[in-house]
Amino acid sequence: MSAAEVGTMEQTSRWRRRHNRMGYWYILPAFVLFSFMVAYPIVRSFYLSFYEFSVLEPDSAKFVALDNYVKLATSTPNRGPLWNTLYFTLIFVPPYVLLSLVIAVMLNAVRRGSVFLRTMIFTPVVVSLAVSAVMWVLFYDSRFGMAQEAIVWTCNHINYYAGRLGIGPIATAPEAGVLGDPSWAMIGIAVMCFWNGVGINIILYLVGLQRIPDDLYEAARVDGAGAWQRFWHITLPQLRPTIYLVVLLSLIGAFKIFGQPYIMTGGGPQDSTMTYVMRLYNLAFRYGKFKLGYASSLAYALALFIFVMSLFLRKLNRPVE
Amino acid sequence: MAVESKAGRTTLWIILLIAGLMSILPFAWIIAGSFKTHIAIQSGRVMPWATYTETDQDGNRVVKRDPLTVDNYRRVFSKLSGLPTYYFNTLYLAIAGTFLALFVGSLAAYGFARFRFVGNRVLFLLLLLTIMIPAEVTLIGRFELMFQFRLFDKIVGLLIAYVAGSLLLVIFIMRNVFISIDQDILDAAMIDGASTWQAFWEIMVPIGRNGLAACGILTFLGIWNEFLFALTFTSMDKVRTLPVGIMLLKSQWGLFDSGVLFATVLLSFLPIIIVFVLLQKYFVRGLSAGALKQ
Repeated sequence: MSAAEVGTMEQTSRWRRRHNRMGYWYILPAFVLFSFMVAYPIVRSFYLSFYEFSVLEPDSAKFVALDNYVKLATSTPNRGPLWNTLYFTLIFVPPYVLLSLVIAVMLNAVRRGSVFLRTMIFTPVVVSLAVSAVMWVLFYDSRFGMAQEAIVWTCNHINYYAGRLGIGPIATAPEAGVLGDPSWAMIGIAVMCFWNGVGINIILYLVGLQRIPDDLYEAARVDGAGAWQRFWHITLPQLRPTIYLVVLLSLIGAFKIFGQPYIMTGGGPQDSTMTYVMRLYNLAFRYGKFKLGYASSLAYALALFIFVMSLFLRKLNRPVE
Repeated sequence: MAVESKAGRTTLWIILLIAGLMSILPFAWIIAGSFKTHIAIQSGRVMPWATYTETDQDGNRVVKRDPLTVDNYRRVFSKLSGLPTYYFNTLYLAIAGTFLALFVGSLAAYGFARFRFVGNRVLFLLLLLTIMIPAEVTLIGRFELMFQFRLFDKIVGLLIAYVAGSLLLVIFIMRNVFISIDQDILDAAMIDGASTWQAFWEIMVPIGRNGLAACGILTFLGIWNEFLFALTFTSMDKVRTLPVGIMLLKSQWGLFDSGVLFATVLLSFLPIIIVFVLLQKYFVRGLSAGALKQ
């Protein structure tokens, strides 16, 4: 190796180092914003969650160690919101995950007019959650709501036929409107959320379905597998990563539900739609006490819960041998 | 997967058509109601074919139909309604926020993808860590910042929060796009004396435009929909966004002017639906690209 060549290599490596250092300038704006508006708030909330702290008396912050966490787990006012959120998850997520899969598989099988059908089915996705919520408040209205009329009509018919069979009335329509009845309100919110968000899941499933190679189905058909067998032995296993993603996103979304009940019912009637994040919001900003420390501990408990659940789901997301 | 029999295909089509009609039924109902008076709506006559019977002066029962009116729309744009303000604020936030997030985010993505500086991996992992943390955790810290920096009740405050919140997604998607670009193209440009900035602006950005479009749609929809932060960081009517504003208009018009509320809701969803139907292909592509990266 000649001296000249060594010289060029040194020059190149010095140039490379200078070049690579340019990278800092490119990530700088993002990092300033990120530290200021994401990293700092995350750390600050973590810190506050160990303090009794209110904006009204910023000087009287008191270190209480884990007291906030103990309080959030044991205090009675938290039990309702916690239960309501779990109840919402329970009635919302299974149909949200399964029905969207059924619709996606059907959409994927249709050739003619599929763009037309897709456009109709995806339309509610682009309407913001707040606009959808207000729309469904009208839709559920006890005096003129179309959904209300449909429910009353159905209940009346069920009762009529039940009466003819000799059973008493079994269905009770919500007299005060879907959102005014404690046993109907959460169901009403779940139906609205389903309508608003189901398109997202369908899109995800469609992307997954289109990735499945056609040869697999051809081979199965040659082997004489029926449509159901092909769905069970090819579509479902091939779609497992997508199903995992949809389940995860749906569960996280359900735990964090806030805007829809806040707009539609404000937590009522009788606190039957008060959710976990709404409780957090109320503690921090609504009851006039600005208990930011306690509210922070609620936020971190939620983050922890979501994190543990994701780990658990990831464990489940293993191919079946 | 194809369905063989004709009967099977027709059944599928009919089921999907019913699902599609159910999806758009609430929209149609709102459109119908927006042309009715408050009294007609409150009496349960929302649909245009709804009739009622009245006894005239001769004692005859006559079937009548409510007249359709555009008065509701006139009143949406009256002084009393905040809708135009909310609309403007939301559009401004969504457009400015999307462009800023795309610009700042793809700069960072370029930095992470194309420069091997010390700490590249660590800093990127730091970003990765926060993706698991729900945005609700940042709510209280950001609320304090808004007060300390006098950003409360300012559009700029929301803008900064939204851009920061959208950055992660842009960085992740665009980093993958930029990594996959062939090094030879860049080397050729560098030999011709292009600066790193020129390489970014004249090579990276044009090649990554599909990714940028997908990120842009996701960011736009995210800001357009955002409710929790907009609710918490504003209190004055002139800085409210559409999601919070529509909730306020619900209480303003709901009890005594339900027709105006119908028209308000219609005007809140119509523009975005029209845009969606026109750009449907890109919407679907953007939504699926983003969700797969999460």
